[in-house]
Formats: sequence, structure tokens, C-alpha cells
Amino acid sequence: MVWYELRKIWNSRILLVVALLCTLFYWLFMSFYIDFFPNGHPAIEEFEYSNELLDRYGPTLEEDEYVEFISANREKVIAEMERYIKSNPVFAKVGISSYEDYERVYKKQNPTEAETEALWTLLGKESNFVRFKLQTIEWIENQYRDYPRYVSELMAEATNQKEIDRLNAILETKEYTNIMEWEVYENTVGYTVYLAILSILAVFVLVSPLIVTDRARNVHLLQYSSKHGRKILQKQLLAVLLSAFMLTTLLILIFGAIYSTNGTWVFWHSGMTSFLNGPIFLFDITYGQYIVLYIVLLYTLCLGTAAMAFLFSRFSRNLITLILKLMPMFAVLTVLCLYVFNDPFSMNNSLYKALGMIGIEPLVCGGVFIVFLAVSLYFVRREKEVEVI
Amino acid sequence: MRIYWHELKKLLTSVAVWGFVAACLLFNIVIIGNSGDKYADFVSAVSKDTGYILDQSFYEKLARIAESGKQSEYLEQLQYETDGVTDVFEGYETKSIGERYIQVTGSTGYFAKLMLDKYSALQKVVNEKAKNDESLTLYFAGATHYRHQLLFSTLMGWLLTEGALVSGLLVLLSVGYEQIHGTESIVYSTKKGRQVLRPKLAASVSAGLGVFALLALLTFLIYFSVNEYEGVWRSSVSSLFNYRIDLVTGNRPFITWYSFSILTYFMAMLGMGLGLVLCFSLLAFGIGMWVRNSYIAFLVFLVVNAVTVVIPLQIPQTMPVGLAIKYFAVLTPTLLWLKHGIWFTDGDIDIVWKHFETLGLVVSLVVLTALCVLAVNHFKRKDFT
Amino acid sequence: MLVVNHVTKKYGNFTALEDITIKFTNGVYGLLAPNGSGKTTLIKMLATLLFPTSGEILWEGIEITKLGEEYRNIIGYLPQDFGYYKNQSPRQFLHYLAALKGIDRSVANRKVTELLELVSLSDVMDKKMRHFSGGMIQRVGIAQALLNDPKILILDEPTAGLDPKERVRFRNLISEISQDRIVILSTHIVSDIETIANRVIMLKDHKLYCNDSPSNICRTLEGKVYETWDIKTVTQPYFPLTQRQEDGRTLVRFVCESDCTEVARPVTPNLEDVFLYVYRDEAI
Repeated sequence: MVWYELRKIWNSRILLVVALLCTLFYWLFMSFYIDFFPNGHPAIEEFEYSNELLDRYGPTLEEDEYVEFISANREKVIAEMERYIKSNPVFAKVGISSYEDYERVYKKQNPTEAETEALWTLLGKESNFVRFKLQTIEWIENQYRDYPRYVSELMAEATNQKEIDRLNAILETKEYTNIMEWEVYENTVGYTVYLAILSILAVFVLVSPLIVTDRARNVHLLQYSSKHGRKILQKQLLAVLLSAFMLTTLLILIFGAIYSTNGTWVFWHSGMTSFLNGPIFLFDITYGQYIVLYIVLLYTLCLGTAAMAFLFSRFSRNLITLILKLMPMFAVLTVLCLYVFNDPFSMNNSLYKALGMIGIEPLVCGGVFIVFLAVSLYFVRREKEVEVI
Repeated sequence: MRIYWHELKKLLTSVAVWGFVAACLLFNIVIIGNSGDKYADFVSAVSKDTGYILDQSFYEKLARIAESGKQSEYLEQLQYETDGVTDVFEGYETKSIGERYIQVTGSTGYFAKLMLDKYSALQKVVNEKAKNDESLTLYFAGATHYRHQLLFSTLMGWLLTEGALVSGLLVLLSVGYEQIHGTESIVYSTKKGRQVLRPKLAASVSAGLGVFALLALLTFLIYFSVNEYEGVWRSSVSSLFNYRIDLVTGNRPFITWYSFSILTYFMAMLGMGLGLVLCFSLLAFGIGMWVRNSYIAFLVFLVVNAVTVVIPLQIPQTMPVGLAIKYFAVLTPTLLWLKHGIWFTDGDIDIVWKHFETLGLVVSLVVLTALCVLAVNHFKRKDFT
Repeated sequence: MLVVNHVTKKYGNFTALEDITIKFTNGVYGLLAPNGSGKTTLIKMLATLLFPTSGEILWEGIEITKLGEEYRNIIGYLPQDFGYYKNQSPRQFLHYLAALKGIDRSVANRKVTELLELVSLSDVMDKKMRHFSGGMIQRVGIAQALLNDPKILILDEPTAGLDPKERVRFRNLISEISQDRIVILSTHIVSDIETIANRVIMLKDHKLYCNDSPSNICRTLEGKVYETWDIKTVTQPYFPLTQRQEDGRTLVRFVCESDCTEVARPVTPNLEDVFLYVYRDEAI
């Protein structure tokens, strides 16, 4: 029985439109995160160095490893810079003969045109963006050195005891020594937020027409009076939820596969609270756990969306009035996605900041799912007694 | 005419339509609710005394207010911001903008010439504005950019989106009404027959425009009751305090082809908005003629709009044809909608046409009307099995 | 005069009607054919909802698609199954259709009330149609078909959903108004046609099978229809038509090409016999 309903939902015309919408949505909003990753300099250098850190030292960076990495690389990069300075006459022209000279000019308030040209040469392609490498090494050095102080500052400002405890734990266990680069994190967040919005759109488009189409054609009269009778609505709800599950799985697989080309999965075992990352996370979770949690949340939200679509479809007279109801719902869910999936599980999450509740993200997604499923089930039950006119 | 009223009634008695309108209004209210700017309100209130033109008398009156009344933080800020400002259009060169655009896009030949022509024409406008001291008007002083964007970009943008969606849906509802209700065979075999589409189009277009106008009216009633504009209505939108963000050339003045005050610019935006909503109605009508299932028709409507945005984005612009597509795409309703924030100005890097919004509107209306005529002819010969 | 001239209708590779030629003059035409034989296709072409793939349909010598409004102005059409605006009353619905039929509002006011009375819906004419029974909706359909006092009345399965009393009233109504117009009604309820149709049109294998008066059509089986209480005694090849139970016995009516007067009683053939016999090979 459910099989027949599934076949009605997954008809070729709708699938074609869903595929088209997904492609267009990807091109409009998501391809950016693939085509421009890492996005320019020094993001490229930051990504490369953090990859190197992971390669050499595993998911955390200990004090001695840190010292070794910084000194070794700094020397290497400075040597490289000197090589370029020696080989290019642009530098000699403005009196730059060594790394120290360059840095002096670099810090100058108003460099001359010739000086600017020389400065940009080390920041440009012809010298392999070497100055960005130095900048990144210094950034890593400073981040690692200053992060405990930053956490202490946050602790001093925090009013919430749970936050203070958490920050304290980060300091004590040196959790911040995790190697998780912010560009990777931001990129993942951006992509996953859009994937969530796309999934909701796709679920709406796919599952909404089922009930309203049947009812508009009076098929429900035949269904209700058949041997199976009014249990059909239950089956249809099941089919709708199953379809949403299948579609979400499909989307996660497709867009996950596309995303994997970014190569961020090397951070899979890295803890999220890191001296190289922006937000402080409320739990000690790794990048991999974050992705798994995201997928779970996405499933709950999509199933909730499907239940919502089921309800609206049941109580709409035709497809246009259904669309009129779904659009505001889509807007609400989009806003919800922006709130939930931007910096989830961290102190930067807007929902967390507004409500101060740890674990608000699963609560919201689960809430959407449970509420709409419960209401749907109520109406499925009630359907057994309603008079069909 | 009678049929027109019948069709209109069919649309306007739909509860879902009004529910949607209410949802849109609520959404707009949320935007307005998050938008208050006390300083801008203060500027507007002060300008009732000082006038909005930054001339000698403005400074005198401002000084007098400062002397007489109690000093306030806002007044100091206003004095600071307006102190010693100069005409931004005096000696302003537009040529370099066009050259920079050409350099970045790498366009050559016809389109490069169009781009240069646009900016040499704009130079005349700038000179005129410099002569009239158009930029020496107050607008909202330091709060100008934020408030200009809020009204003309954010709020107007959402209104246009809502208008396009609701008018498109109304058209599809009207065109699909007989299919939805199974009355096609009765209705299309009457004397009027398939010509009923004409009153249907008229009814749904007027309903769409009407709903858009209603939404705009309510939204702006609320907006202007929350945000104070009284003293600055006649201030120029090309005020020195107004600027536009341009990632290619850096921020630059807000230059309109004609001299617009805030009030006339607002009216022009609304007029253009109505035209654009009409375009979306026609687009939906054309699609509704071809696609019988109104759900699919609406999705096609969305897809068509997305495609017009995606194609110029994804086509490689190293080829001349890529550039041509990009430049012509700007004249489609969807891109006109996206660029609503710079209507009546010289446009941006994607735009080689002078008065692109007017040109685009005319082109869109002509093309879409032709499309609709084609669609109607197709519909007239369609089998209703 | 309405002329269907060598009309063929194809849907892709499927031929729904092939080379149909019929002339309609004033009177009642019964279109008798099993489902799927192209009846509705023919009717929809007459109602301008479908267009012939080849051939033409002429009214007073001019092609109906060319006449356009002028032609549609003189037809009244009741589709086989049709929708209605559930949240409107029959009066509102008919007023809408009157507007589409180009009837003046003042005329429409009178006409709508009159017709709703005629189909005995006057007591519910301001109730929403949502709660109407199938028969009531069917009567609304009949009323709308008559709104413009059509010269050509096309009725697809008009008596479906009507109860026996309503059906009799409907037949009388059709007989009354058929004097000076063409009424084309399709049905597979043979008794409807038998009582009111002047001519019967039968389609078979998507082609015109016959177009004749009911009596002439019945005459094709003259002397071939029999009745017997004991069908076992019939040894010749025969085709059974109907059975009737009486006092625990079964009276069988059948067609036999050869003479059976010795074992069965010859009876006068009726349209139903012809219908069953003609379409004996088709799955009905």
C-alpha cells in the first residue's frame, strides 16, 4: 500500500522539477563554497599550513610541536623571501636587500609607488605569495600563544556559570590545542546552511501534492470506502515521511559527495574548539561529530517539514492555495535554518545567544518534528471519524 | 466587464490569498520593527527648522538651535557631520568608472563602446548636478546610507518579491481555476469560450497589482509612521551623504539620471515596481497557458526565474557571447528585480544600458506580451480531453 | 444543419474516431455506443473542446471553428462529468455561465430562476453546492446547458445520477424542446433513447456503424430474436441477450441467425437487443 503512495509521490515530472530546482539552487547559492575554497590569500596558506600541522602532529598541537613548527617554518619562509628579494631588481631599486628591510618598508605609513610595487611583489604570484606564508605563520604563532588569554577574557565577561565552567575546562584540558582551521569551519557552515534550506525546499516540492491531488480528484472517496478504508491516510503519512527521508538521504549523499572534493574531511577527528577557529563550542566535539550531528538534525527537520507539508496538503482545497500556505512556512523554516545551522553548538549561535539554552539546536529541530508529527497523527486518527462530504 | 467582475470575485474570495497577504505584511512589519534609527529621526525633525539644503541659512539655523536649546549628543553629531561638507559632484569624473568596468570584464567592441557612452552621458548629468548643488542636501546625514538601503533596497526588495509571487500565483489560480474545479468543458464551450482568458488575465493582473499596491500601502503606512521623513522629503537622493557600495570601483556617489527627491524617487520606484509586477504576471500567464497543472506551473515559474539568474552567472564570460548574454539578461524581469536597489542610476558592472530599468521594463513587457499572445494562440487550439 | 464531414480524430498513434460523416437536422439524436468507442470524443468536437485531426464540422455550411463565438452561442453542452464551484450557489454559478454565454443580466436573472424551477432546484438555489447530491449537480448541469436557449443541445450522459422520477421528467423536457432544435444525447441507457430519439447513431470500432431511426435499426434483427423458457433445447448457435426470472424459471432472450421457431417464441427486437448484439465482441 505504502508502495503505491510512494510511486505517486516519486513521479517523473516532479522529480525532474526537483532535480532542476536543486541544480539551480546549487549554482545560485552553493557552488561558491566549492569553487572558491579556500577563498584567496591568506586563506589558502592557512588551509595549507593547518593541513601540514594535522599531517605532522595529529589532531592536537602540543607546546613542543608548536615551537618546532613555528621556528622551522619561519626560517624556511624567510629564506624563501630573501631568495626572491635577491633575485628581483624591484627590491634593490627601493633599497630592500633583506627580509628585515622588507618588513621595515611593509610597516611604513605612506610607501612610495616603487615601494608599493616591491611590497606587492612578495604578496603576488611571481613570488609564490610568500609574504602571505609568513603572515600565516605569525598568525598561527599568535593564535596559539594568545588563545588562553582570550579564553580567560571571555571567562571574566561571562555571567552564565555553565559558560564559565566550560571555558575553564577548555583551559584546563588544553582543549584549544585542537587543530581546526576557521576557513574550513566557516566554509562548511555556509555550505551546510544552504544544504538545509535546499533540503527543506525539495521536501516541500516533492511531498506536498500527494494528499491535495487525491482529494481534489475525489480519489479519497474511493480510498476511504475501500477495504483498507481510512487507514490510507496513515499510509500516506508514512509514505510522505519515508519520501522525505529518502530524498534527504539522496541530497546528503549527492551534496556530501560534491563537498568532499574540498578535502576538509582530513579534519574529521579534529576538535572544534581550536586556537585556529573562531567560535567556542559548548561541547567537546570533533568536526566529524559536528557533521554527524548536523545530518541528524537535518533529518529531523526534514521529517518535520514533511509532516508539515502533509498537514497543509490535507487541509488545502487545491494546489495553488497549498502553495500560498507553504510559502510563508518555507520562509519561516529558512529563517530557522539560518538560526540553527549557523555556528551550531557554539557560543556564537544566535539561538543560543538569545535564549542561553545549551542544546537549543536539537531542541528546535526535534520540536518541529515532534509537534508536526503529533498533529499529523492526531488528524490521521481523527480522520477515522470525520464525515466525508 | 461582467465576466471580469466574476473572475475577480473568484480570486478575491480565496481565503488563502488573504492569508498569504497577511503573512507578507507580518514579515514586513518584522523588518520595520527591527529598523528604528533615532538619529535619523532626529535629523528629519531638525530639518523642519533648518531646511534640507546645506546652505548658509542651514548652518545659521543649526547654530541657533545649538545655542538656544540644550546641547544633545545627536545635535553635536549632526554639526560634526555637516561641518565643511563640499559638493561631491564638483569635478567628479565618471569616465574612470566605465574604464574600470571594461578593464575588469575585458569587454571590447560594441559593449565597451556602450559602457563608455553610458559614462560620458553620465558625466553631463554629474556636471548638471554639480551646477545645481544637488549633493548639498541633507537626506539623513550620517544615517543616510542605512536608511536609504532600508527603504529602497530591503523593504522595497521584499515588497517586490511578495508582489511578484502573489501576482504570479493569482494569475495561475485564475488560469488554472477551471482545471482545478473541473469546469473546463462547461466554461470553454460557452459563447465566450476560451476568450474568457482575456477577462481572466485582466482580473488576475489587476488583482495582483491591487494586492501589491495594498501591501505597499500598508507597509509604507507603518514604515513612515515609525520612521520620520517629514523634513527631508524633498532632499535629493544624490545627497553627498548617500553612497553606493561598488566592489569594483569602491564606494561612489548615488547618481541618478534625473534629479530625484526622496519623494519622487519613492514614487518612481513604486511605479517601476508596478510595471515589474505586471511582467511577472504576464510570465505566469504564459506559463499557465502551456502547463495545465498549476503546481507544476508555479514550479516552472520559479525555475524560469532562477534560470535567468543562473545563466549569466555560469556562462563563461571570456567568450564575447557570454558577455552579451550577461548584458541582455539584465533586461529580464528577474534581474531587474535583483537590481532594484540601483534603479534610475547608472547601474553597475553588469549594465551597459542607459536607463536600464526603463529599457528593461519596456523590453520585458514587449517580449512577454508576445509570448502571451503565442501562448493564447496555442491554448485556442488545445484539445481538452 | 450541422454536418460532420469525414472527421478523423487521432491521439498520437491512437485513432479515436475514423472518417465519421453525419448530418444533423432538427430532432433528437441518440448516440449509442459502449464506453471507449469515441462517443465523448465526437461530442467534445461538437462542443469545440477538441479539434478534428482531419475532416471538418460545419454549421450552416461554415466550419465551426471559423464561426467561433457565433457557433458557441447556439450550443448548449452538458459534459459527462463536470466540476462546479463548491463554494457557490447554483444561482451564482449559473449567473457566471450566463455572463460567459453573453446573456444580458436582466435576461439572465429571469432565465436562471426559470431554469432552476424547471429542474426543481428552486428551493436550494441559494445554497452552496458543496452539499448537493449527484442528481442535483446533474440538474444544475442541465439547467446551464439550456441557459442560452441553444439551437444545438449536446448532452453527454444526461440521465446519469437521476432517479427514475427525474429521468421521466427529463425525457419529457427533451421531447418538449426538441421541436425546433438539434438535440444530441449520448447514453448507454437504451430506454432513454428508445422513448425520445428520432434517430440513433451507433459507433463501432471507432467508425460510424449506423445512423437511422430506432425502428429501422430494430428491423435489422427482425425475425432473429427469440425467447424461450428452456434454452437447453436450442441447438443452433445463438447469442444470449437477456434473462428474466419468473416463478423460479428463467426466460432467456437470444439472437439466432437461423430459424428457431420450433423451440423458441419469436419476439419483436428492441434497441437493447441490437445494442447487445452489435457490441457482442466488445468488452463492456
